Amino acid sequence: MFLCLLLPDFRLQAALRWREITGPAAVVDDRADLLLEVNAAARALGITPGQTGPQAMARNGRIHLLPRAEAQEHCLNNLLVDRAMGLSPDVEHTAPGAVIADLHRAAKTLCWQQLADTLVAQFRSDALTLQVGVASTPDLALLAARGADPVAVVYDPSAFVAPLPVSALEPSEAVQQILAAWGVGTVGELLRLPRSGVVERLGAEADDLLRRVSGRHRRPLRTIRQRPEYAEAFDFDYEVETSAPLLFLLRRFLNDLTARLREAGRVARQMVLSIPLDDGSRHERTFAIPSPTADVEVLYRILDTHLETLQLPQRPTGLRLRLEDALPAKDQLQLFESALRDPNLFGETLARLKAFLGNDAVGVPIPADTHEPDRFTVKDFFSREEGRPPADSLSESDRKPALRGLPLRRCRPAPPARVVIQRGRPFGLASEIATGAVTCCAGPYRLSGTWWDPRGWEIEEWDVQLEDGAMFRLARRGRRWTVEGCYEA
Amino acid sequence: MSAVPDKRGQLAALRALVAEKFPQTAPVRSGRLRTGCEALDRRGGLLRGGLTEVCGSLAGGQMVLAALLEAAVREAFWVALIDGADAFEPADWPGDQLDRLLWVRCRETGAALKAADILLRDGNLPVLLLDLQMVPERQLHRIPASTWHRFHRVIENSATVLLVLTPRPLVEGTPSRIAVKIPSPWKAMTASRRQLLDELVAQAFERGREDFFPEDREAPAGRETRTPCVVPSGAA
Repeated sequence: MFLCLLLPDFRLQAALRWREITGPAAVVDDRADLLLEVNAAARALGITPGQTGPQAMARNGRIHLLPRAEAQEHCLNNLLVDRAMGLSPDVEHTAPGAVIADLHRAAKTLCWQQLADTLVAQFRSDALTLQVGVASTPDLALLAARGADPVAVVYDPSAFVAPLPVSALEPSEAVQQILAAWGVGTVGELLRLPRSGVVERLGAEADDLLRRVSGRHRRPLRTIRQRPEYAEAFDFDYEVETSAPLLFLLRRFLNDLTARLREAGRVARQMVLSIPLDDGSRHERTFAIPSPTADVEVLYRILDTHLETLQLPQRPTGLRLRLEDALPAKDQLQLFESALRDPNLFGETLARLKAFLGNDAVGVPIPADTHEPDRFTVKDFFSREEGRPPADSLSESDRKPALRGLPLRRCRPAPPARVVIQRGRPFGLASEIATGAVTCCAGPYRLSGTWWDPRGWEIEEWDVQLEDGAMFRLARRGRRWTVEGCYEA
Repeated sequence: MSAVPDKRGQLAALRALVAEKFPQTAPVRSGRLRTGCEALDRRGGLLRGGLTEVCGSLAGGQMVLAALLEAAVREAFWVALIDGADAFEPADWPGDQLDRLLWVRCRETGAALKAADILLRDGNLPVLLLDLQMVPERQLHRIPASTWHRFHRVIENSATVLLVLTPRPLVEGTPSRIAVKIPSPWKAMTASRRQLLDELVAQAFERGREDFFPEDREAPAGRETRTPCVVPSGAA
């Protein structure tokens, strides 16, 4: 059997998603200003697809005219495919808002009606209307879904198709006119005509129509193989000035997406937040989840912390959230290794620290692969291992010799200094942090790099001790001396 | 003078009474962290669930960090360095020790104290080191005493080690204070880190003991200010 999941008035349902609209509503094609789809409340007021916006407003001034929301349609299609793939690996994305799943491998004892009712209830809990058709061929399943209320299970194909109007098969206008001229109004009447004669007169299209309603022709599905995409989107039609509406929507997105993750036995390992802005640009930020999880509160706190301090240059026009999924981690720590007690809380703490100190102010320091002084990067705590060669892969020459001496405390920025030179060595020092006669010095340590580049650098360094015991590192770049740092004071 | 022991006795009795009546408010001492540096471990190691002030020379402070990072590599835990003057030099530390370090770079004391507060409340990292040794004296004067009391309250029921590196005794009400120095810093420039840790001179003082030195006295091993010297004539 084949099962078809169909979201009727798909574009309208996508546009209404995440909105609290109960009255008459219609989705409008912006370019032609024509109504594409209308809801039942609008239909009851005499508003139909094909009318213009002003015509609809003339019939009822309180109708909500919504623009097409393509991003939301994309997310809704993904949701539909994802749910269908939960039933069968062989799924065809037949049309926007319609998928067909091949359930021939399903258990013989499966109750189709019960399965379809469960699916309808599942979509209803997401505020979506679903129609389900079950039949022996994909085309019949689609026909059944289109006419379902909300579920139609076809056990006898002939009896099911006989009363259907020919227009339900969506023939071309020319064929429909010919059939009307012949007095053929229903599929049953069409099937009573001799097949060869109909095909001879109407051509291949008629052959296709007859095959679709025969109940015996199982066309192969154009199956799709796509990874489930856990994403939600929303386009604002009003001005957003604070983070409150964004947070409200994000929580709803997360409730929905994490429920889907839990159904699939997955967790979120990364979140991508994207905010389209008024000028066409977008603010995008990726959040790595320290300890992958499907916990709404944990994920929400990460986004909340980010939005708390976020200042956008332009007005947001929409909101996109995508979760990258992964299998739940099953880490085995080393015998004496202590894990972080709550990695997600720690990730959030680091995010708070970064929010007020800056992104490059919190993390694990990685010295740069150069001899140029004060060159390093600060890597995120949770991605510190990325891109680093394993220690045992380094050759003997690559490994740094064991460090000797006192570590430096660097002055950032290095204050300028006046240095007295006698017999080629520093003799006296005057700077804002230290002044005195030099009693001991070691150097010069000459360093240079990128000589082939106009930005090449050349430094001469000295370690000096003053009369009072304080020890500094001095550096000379050309004729300019600076105090690079302090060893002892 | 004779009133002092009575006062101490009364205070001890009051503390015992409070601990008996409100057991949930009594501080939990979860032992000590041994660093592997003999000078620091002489009294059993660094206090867990309490604030320890490390005052003295810059070189001594750096060796305390070296001892902690060695222990962190050996026992696989992480150390947070809240760098009050953004003075840490990554190039002077081995890669395996940097792997165990969370570096928080601050440009002013207020930010460093706020970062320390956030990390203490998080409670994930077992060792926090707040480095205020390079911070200008005028900024140190502005730290309200209540800050240290707040830190005490936050960590007293945890197993976190909080070390505050200061140039002079600064932290009021600290239960433990260590004065550190390297005896010959110039000679130390050619010594290995292990040798330096062996040479480290540390004098530990704990509240309640006779040898505890209060905040208004100079630390035995530290220097409060550097005496400005005169630039020799003919300075360029």
